[in-house]
Amino acid sequence: MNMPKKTLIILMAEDDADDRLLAQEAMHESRVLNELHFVEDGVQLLSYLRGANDFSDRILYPMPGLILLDLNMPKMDGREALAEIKADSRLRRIPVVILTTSKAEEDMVKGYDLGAVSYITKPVTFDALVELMRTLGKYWVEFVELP
Amino acid sequence: MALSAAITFFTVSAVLAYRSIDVITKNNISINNTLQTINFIKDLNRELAAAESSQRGYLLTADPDYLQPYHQTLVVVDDLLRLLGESTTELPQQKKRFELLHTYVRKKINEMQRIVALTDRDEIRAAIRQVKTDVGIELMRAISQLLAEMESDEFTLLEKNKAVAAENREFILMALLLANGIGLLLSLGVFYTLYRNSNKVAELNSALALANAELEEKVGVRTQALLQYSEELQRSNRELEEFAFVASHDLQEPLRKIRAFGDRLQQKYSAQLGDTGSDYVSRMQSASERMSVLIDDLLSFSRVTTKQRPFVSVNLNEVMHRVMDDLDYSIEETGAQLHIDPLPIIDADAPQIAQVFMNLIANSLKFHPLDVRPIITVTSAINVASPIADDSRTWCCLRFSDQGIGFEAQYAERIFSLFQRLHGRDEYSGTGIGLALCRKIIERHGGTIAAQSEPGEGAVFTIFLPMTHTVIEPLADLLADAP
Repeated sequence: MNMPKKTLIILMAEDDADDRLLAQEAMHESRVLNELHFVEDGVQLLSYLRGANDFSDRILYPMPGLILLDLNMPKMDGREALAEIKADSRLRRIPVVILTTSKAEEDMVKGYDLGAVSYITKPVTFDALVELMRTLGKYWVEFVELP
Repeated sequence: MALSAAITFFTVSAVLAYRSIDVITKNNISINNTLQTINFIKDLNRELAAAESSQRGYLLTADPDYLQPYHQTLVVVDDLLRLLGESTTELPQQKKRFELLHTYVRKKINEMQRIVALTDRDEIRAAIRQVKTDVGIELMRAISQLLAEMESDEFTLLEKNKAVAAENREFILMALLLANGIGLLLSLGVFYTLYRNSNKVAELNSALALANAELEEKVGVRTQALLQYSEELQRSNRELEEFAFVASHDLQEPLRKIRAFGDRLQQKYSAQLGDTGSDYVSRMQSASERMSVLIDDLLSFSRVTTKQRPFVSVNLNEVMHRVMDDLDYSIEETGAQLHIDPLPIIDADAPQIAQVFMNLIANSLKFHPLDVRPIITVTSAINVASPIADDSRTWCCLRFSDQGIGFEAQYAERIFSLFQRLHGRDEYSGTGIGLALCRKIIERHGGTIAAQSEPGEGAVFTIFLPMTHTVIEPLADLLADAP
């Protein structure tokens, strides 16, 4: 563990403003020093990843090391966005964690089939959300080797 | 009846007509016979007269040329006598006359031969003397007399036969006319009956066609109505499924926010809220949590029908094993003892039946006095009498009994209603969904579930289930096959 502590850039695709606020607060509470960026639908997510339109500034909108993806979003939902990410050779290596309210078996199966690395149901309590943020940060920063 | 009368009539008239024809035929022969006899009589008379005058001429002239007819008569007279003798057998009185006639004719011929012989020898006087004896004339008169009588009798017979023939002809004519008339009437009758019957058949046929058309129309209307109901049912099912989806996702979502921001309030602002404020918030939190459970319960209740699987052969022992595995922790915690009979194999929706077993056993584990170890017994019986009238299927009976706190008998029905509880939440947890779900599942399987209990005496839940299910075709397919 002599390696310098890296920070992970997390991009969260979430249409619900409350959830974005709660995620931001949970990240803060978890005291893990990761950067959290937000987009509000699948179209925005792909624009951000490709540096298109308003997201061309890579200093303001750096490439993420992890994507947290909600499934039910307007314009382009999480499933379509995931399929497109995995079809794009420049983007397919970014791990995608599905974070959704849906407990439906078919959504889970579809998510893994499309190439998601994890499928997580949104925690009900705030404490659980803080714990999730802490664990995600630790796991993807300290244990997992990413290219 | 009419037929046998017709047959009798035709047979009798045919027999009578045949007999009449027979009579006429015989009568005809008799007439011919009589006419022949009359002819012979006339011939004989003529021949004798010719011979007599021929013999007189020879006597007067002694010219042998005059004897020509006389010789001819001698040649034919025997033949004529013989023919007459053969043909006069029909009338008995003619026989005697013929014998007499025969004798007279023979005598007459002898007399004529004597005169001719005398004349041949030129003994004219002797010959004339012979003639003058008048023997020849007397003989001739007697012969004529006999022949006239015979002829007269034959004529009488002829008339009689003619009358009989006429009579029979008339009868045949009458019979023929009558037979034809009656035949015509019968034909008309038969024709009329056939005509009337065919009319009636045509009438009945058209009535039948009309009734068929009406029936078809009714069936069509009913089919349409059934299709409509089927569509409505499918639509309402779809709506129910959509409601279940909305309930599970969209209703849970705001609740989750209420709870999350409640958490934030308590964590970040507990100092400002104070004890009372914190209490209010935690009551809000637990109410939200209950609502969340209620929504989940409602969803699982509606899923009994919206997420149903087809009935397949299920070994209930395997189902029970899975349930016991799931309840392993609770069983160990309460130190419960379970006695479970071998269970049958039946047609069922396994996950749903597992839900029933799970709820019943979990209830027994829950509703027991704290200081007593729960004892749960599951017994089963197959080939029991159907609880439904007029049902030929094989049924099984499962009985879940415990020695828990039980309940008052008056609540035996109420406990199966949705969200009905007999205890306060602080006494025993739960929303009151478990038994409602059990009843819904058992009823979906075509069975019944009932409870029996007394306070402190434990409870018995009795389930009746049909062991087999006939696969029911979807209504739309069924109607599509209908003509």
